[in-house]
Amino acid sequence: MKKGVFLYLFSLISVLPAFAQMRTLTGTVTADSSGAPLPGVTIHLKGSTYRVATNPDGTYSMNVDGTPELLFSMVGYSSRELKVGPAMTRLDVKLQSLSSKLSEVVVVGYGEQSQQYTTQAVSVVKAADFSNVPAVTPQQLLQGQVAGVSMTNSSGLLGNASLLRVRGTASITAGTQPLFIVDGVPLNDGSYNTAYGGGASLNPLLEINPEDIESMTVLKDAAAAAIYGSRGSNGVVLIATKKGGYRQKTQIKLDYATGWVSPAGKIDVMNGEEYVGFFNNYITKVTGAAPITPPAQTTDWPSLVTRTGRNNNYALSASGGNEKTRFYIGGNYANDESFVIGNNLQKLSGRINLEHTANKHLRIGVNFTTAYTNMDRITVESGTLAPYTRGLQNTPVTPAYTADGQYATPTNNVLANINLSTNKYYTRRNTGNAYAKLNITDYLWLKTDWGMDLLETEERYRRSSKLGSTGTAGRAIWQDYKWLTTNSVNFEKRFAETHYVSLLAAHSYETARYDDIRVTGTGFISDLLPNVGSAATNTGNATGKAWGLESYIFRGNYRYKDKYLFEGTLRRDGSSRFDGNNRYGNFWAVSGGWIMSEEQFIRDLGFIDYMKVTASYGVTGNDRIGYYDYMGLYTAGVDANYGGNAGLRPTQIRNPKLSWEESRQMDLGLAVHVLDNRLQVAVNYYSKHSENLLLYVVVPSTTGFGFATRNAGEMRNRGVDLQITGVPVKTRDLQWTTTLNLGYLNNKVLSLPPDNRDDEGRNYILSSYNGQRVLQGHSLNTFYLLRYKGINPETGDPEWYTKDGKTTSTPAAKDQTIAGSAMPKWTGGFNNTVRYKQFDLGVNFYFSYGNKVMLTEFKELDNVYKNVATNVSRDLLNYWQKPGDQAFAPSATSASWKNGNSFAQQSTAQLFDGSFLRLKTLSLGYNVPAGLLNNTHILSGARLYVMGQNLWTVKSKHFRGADPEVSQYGTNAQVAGESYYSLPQPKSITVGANLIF
Amino acid sequence: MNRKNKIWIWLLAGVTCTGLFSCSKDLQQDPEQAIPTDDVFTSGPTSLSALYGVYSRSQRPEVFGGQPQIIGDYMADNADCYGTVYFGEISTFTATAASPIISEMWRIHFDAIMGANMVIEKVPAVQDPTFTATERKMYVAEAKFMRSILYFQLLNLFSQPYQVQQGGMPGIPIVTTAFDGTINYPSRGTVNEAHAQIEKDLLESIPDLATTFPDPVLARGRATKGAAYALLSRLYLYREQWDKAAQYADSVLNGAPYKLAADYSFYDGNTMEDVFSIQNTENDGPGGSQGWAFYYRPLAAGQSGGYCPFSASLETAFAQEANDKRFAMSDEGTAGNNQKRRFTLKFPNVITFKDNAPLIRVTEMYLNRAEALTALNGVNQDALELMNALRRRAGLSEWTLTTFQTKDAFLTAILNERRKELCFEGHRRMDQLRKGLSLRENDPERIAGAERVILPIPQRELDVSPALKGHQNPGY
Repeated sequence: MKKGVFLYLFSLISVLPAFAQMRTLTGTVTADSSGAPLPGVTIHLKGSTYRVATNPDGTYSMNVDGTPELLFSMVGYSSRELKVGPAMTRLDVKLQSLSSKLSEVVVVGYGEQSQQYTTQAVSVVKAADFSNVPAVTPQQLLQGQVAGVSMTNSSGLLGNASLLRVRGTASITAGTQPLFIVDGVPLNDGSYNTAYGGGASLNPLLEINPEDIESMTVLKDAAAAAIYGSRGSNGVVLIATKKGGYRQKTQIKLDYATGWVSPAGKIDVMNGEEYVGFFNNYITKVTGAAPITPPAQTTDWPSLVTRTGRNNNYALSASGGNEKTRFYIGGNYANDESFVIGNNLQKLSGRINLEHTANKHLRIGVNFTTAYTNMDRITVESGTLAPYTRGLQNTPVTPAYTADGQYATPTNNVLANINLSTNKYYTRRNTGNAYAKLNITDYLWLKTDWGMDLLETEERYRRSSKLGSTGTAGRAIWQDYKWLTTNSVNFEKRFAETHYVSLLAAHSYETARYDDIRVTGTGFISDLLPNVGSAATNTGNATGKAWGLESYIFRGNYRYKDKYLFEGTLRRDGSSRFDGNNRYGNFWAVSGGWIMSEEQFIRDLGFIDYMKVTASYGVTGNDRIGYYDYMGLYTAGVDANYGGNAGLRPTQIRNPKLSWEESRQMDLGLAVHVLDNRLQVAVNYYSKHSENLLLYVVVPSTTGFGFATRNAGEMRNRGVDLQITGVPVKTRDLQWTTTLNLGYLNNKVLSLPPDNRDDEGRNYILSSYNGQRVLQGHSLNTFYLLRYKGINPETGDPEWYTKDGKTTSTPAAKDQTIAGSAMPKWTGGFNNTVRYKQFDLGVNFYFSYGNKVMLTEFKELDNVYKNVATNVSRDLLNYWQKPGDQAFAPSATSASWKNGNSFAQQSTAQLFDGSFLRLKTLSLGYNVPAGLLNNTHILSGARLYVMGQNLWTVKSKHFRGADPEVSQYGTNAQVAGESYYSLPQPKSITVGANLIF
Repeated sequence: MNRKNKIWIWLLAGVTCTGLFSCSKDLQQDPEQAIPTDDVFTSGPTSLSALYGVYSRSQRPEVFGGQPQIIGDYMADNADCYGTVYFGEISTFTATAASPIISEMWRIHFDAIMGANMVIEKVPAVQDPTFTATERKMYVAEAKFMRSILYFQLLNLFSQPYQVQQGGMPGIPIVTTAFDGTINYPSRGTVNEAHAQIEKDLLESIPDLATTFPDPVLARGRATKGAAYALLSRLYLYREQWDKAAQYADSVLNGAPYKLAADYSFYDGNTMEDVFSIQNTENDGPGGSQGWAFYYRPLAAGQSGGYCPFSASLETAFAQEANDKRFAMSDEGTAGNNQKRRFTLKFPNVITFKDNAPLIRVTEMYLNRAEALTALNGVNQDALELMNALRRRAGLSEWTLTTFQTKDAFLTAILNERRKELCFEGHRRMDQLRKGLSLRENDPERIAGAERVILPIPQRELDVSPALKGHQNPGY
């Protein structure tokens, strides 16, 4: 290391005299065909990171010296490389229209590459692709946009994490979220919530303002992700924020949108009249309860807990730059209300990105964002007082209010619990990086980059004494403070015109410290005292932990004649999460590509504009396990203390052999552009083989530990990603662009530890949840259930199938069989943009096919309980009364109600086809004509639009739930596709305006 | 110095910092809330804290923090159940092996048991010259006591009582060694085998246990000689070894630390009435915002949410003799089904659920001894005196030798007193089962030996253990 430093210093010093005379080069870039000036063309001083962009009139100006090579590039035009003559000060350039994305530069791990020459399987979503879609979180922008990325909004709860999968699920019990990186800073993505927190884990991207995003790159294959080594197995999402442009006139942009939100679907439960009738005719016979007299007024609980939510979103940004400095400043305020009472989200964020070119050799920059969110949260859907859950569970004869307008039984009244308590959740986040780039020569540069992600989340709740006891309160603060540094040496040079070489070597160190502190209190003299400090009794707790990751990163690219492409990547990671002997792991990838359209025999065909084949193979890892899972531990704290004495209790089995989970992935890709680039097809086949899976396995309780983390098992994800982009119509007034993304996935668990075998001798892992089980030889999310047959029309008894296919009315656990998978076979999007004169129309579909969804709420809504009065599904009205009835529910006197074999017991009766096609967004915009704009003298662009989200969903006609797009446990890999009163997705209508000054 | 040079110097400084950034040592991160297992049994104080960990685990709602206790009452005829679905299905005998609360109950009992096994196995070998032999023996003896009371409760929940086939029915897996990383699969054995292990542990522990502790919290909250005698008395009573049941009850009653309380204000008081109570405090309750009061009380006076009100049958039992002071320890509240029902006031704290868990108290020894003596000798003066002490305290008339014509009538009366004295403390189910009574008056089938009067072995355990597979309790 020391030696390296000296070398580094020496090289820095040795280039000092290299400063030379600079001159200003100006010119205009125009389109070859029309001669129209081209704004926004990127001009890259080769061998440096110096870039400028052309002005709206196509002109540019940049500082050059000597005879540098310039690269002119722009979306939809073929790039041109030109050498600047000595003492030349003016250079006008014409670019040829390409109408393809080829020439674009894409952000990849630790650098950028030309889309045309990359051998990595990456998908890019650019600002232009989503600028018309107001989104609460950036992940939503990926849904249906990228082949091979499956995204399920876990629940309609505001602020929740989504289930995002890049090429299937590479792990069973370790984390399965992709790694999110913003401007080179990997984000903290732990979970920081309590029972009051509501729903699944918080969304790690919640604080990122979608308006600030320039592009999102999804790294899919090993060639792309291996550079993130031990964290690459689940794919990586790189988010680049807007940076402004050199010599770009300052542009001020204002966006405003306001919308109305309602649930996308609902579950039918009985109304007052139906319930009273059903109770007296049916439930009384089942339970022996006395009939009820209908109250004067029944209560419509489902509509009491829902509302039309309103949302407002304001975004204001400015960007631009001069010769030496470019900037982007963005601010955003959003105020969202869910359609469920008590759930609101306010977001405030600001960003400043600044880059300054000090001189020919040095460029320094900073990207920084600060954000604040303020949420009103509701208890998790499984909580006894979750509003949506209780709205469906409460019977219509359970009053909400007493005769004099007070809350009826407030402790147990969900309305009282929402209105007489506060349940706040705040996040404060500062994310950013500062860097310096030093060009030693035009082909060798150094970069040092220092990043941070300081996340602080805070929960505050206060419950009125009217809700039981004498009032309770709590405050908890979680901090996750991450720091990282990356220092790299980069080399990029072309030799003898035919050999292109680029090399990267970097060292990175990343560390994060987590701390939490909590106080809870009970006993308040008055509800006017909001803070926990005013309580009679307080308890406090504080914990902390930290991890570190040290990495050595290498990448080399070689290109021969710009048609034969090679790349190799190596990353060595050391992690504090493993014992000394297993601490370091090596991850690598090799890839190659052949641009066949550069070959004469393809050119001779005449109709192929571009054609590339790629192949890659490599190894990535996954370290998403607990901080100290390899140790045997005795834990201190209140769970171990006794009678005022400090205690210790065993909490973890020692496992020094614990090591990385590894995925070996092969990828074959083909990209073809034909018909003057108007039809572009990219198809990739992949096979990802994950082994040494980090399994959180169930062990017999007689060991004293219920679970242990182990490396065992293998899993394979195989699939095809297909993306077809076409421009079916392209005239002066009318342009229609259409894109179809399609991901096919086949997931199979290849092997599991032999400790647990089922009756058929298959290895399996028992999930903590009931409906699914991980079975060797089957898909990860395999439902393992009793097969429900239906109500016997002759007897009125419910019937199931035994394992060998016979009919039974008393099934046993051993009759459970495989009943499908929660993992979709096909997911994708179908996106259309039509522009006609001043109008634009966006029609985006998202679909999922071949997956099952388990709606466990029907275990309760279809059930009749003896001791608990709950509302029931309206379908129960169709109960068996006489022989021959094709009934939904059994007869009231069926033995099944007595012998513990309720027809609502867990079975395929709650399992539904989860395939759906959803009109994700439908938008219509009007762009104010330039003539009108000119009259305003200040506006240079204006668009007014109306947009609908989730307006229309096609689903199975047997589907009884509110929404097939559901995943109760958010990011938990083992229980995708299960619901327990999960909130449906919001259906919204939004109107808005985009103004450019 | 010109501007350019300044930039260079800053850069060099940055680069130098990077070079000096020594990372390898930061890759060794140690946990902050826990210590490695190897470092626990290295001194007297850390060994004691591991013992406290066993008691602490026993505070859990799933162990002695309320759940097995309410099941003891509502699966029997003392209470109804208006709790959540998984509790409700136990009261209607429709629980399944997949029940998460039954699964957690099983798991956390063994969690506590393994903590005890570790203490028993590791403490004798601790290298600490200041750790005296007396202390070591006492810690081991306390862990053995805890192991036996944990196994006893687990056995009562998951196995048929001794009265079915004289203890020959399947028991529960018994593990008495510390877990060393190798997973074993113990089988269920028989009820007698489990009882034998419990008896052995208790008998072995008695010589080494303390008589009492100066701190009242520890005197009632840690295992003592009296606690071991008392648990043996209960074990022998359940096994109908009447002489020993009477003898060990007497050993408790003769002990200096114990005396029948004069009235019913002793709950959560750590008085001489308590033989062994798991200690809860405001800051250290059973956990999960639950506890005895959570289940046995409405959430606040006059408001709803109560899981376990008096059953009609228990109200009738109290109604037969007016002015019972034990019945006065109750009030009306709203139950989970929104009806006004009667709830016990034995565990009033619905705020922090800090009421202690009264697992063994002197009153039970009176009842054990009276029952055992009567079983041996018929209606007898000693037993009458014991029972009259309880009846006087309850404000009821005393019994005489002529009150009962037969031994059985007296035994029935003792059992009835036992019910009223120990209601809402989790005893009733085992008392009914061992006496051959049905758990439901209106359903004579719910007797010992019947299906579903005991809980199902959790499916999770059957699935992961070849020794348990196929050994589910019949009916599940």
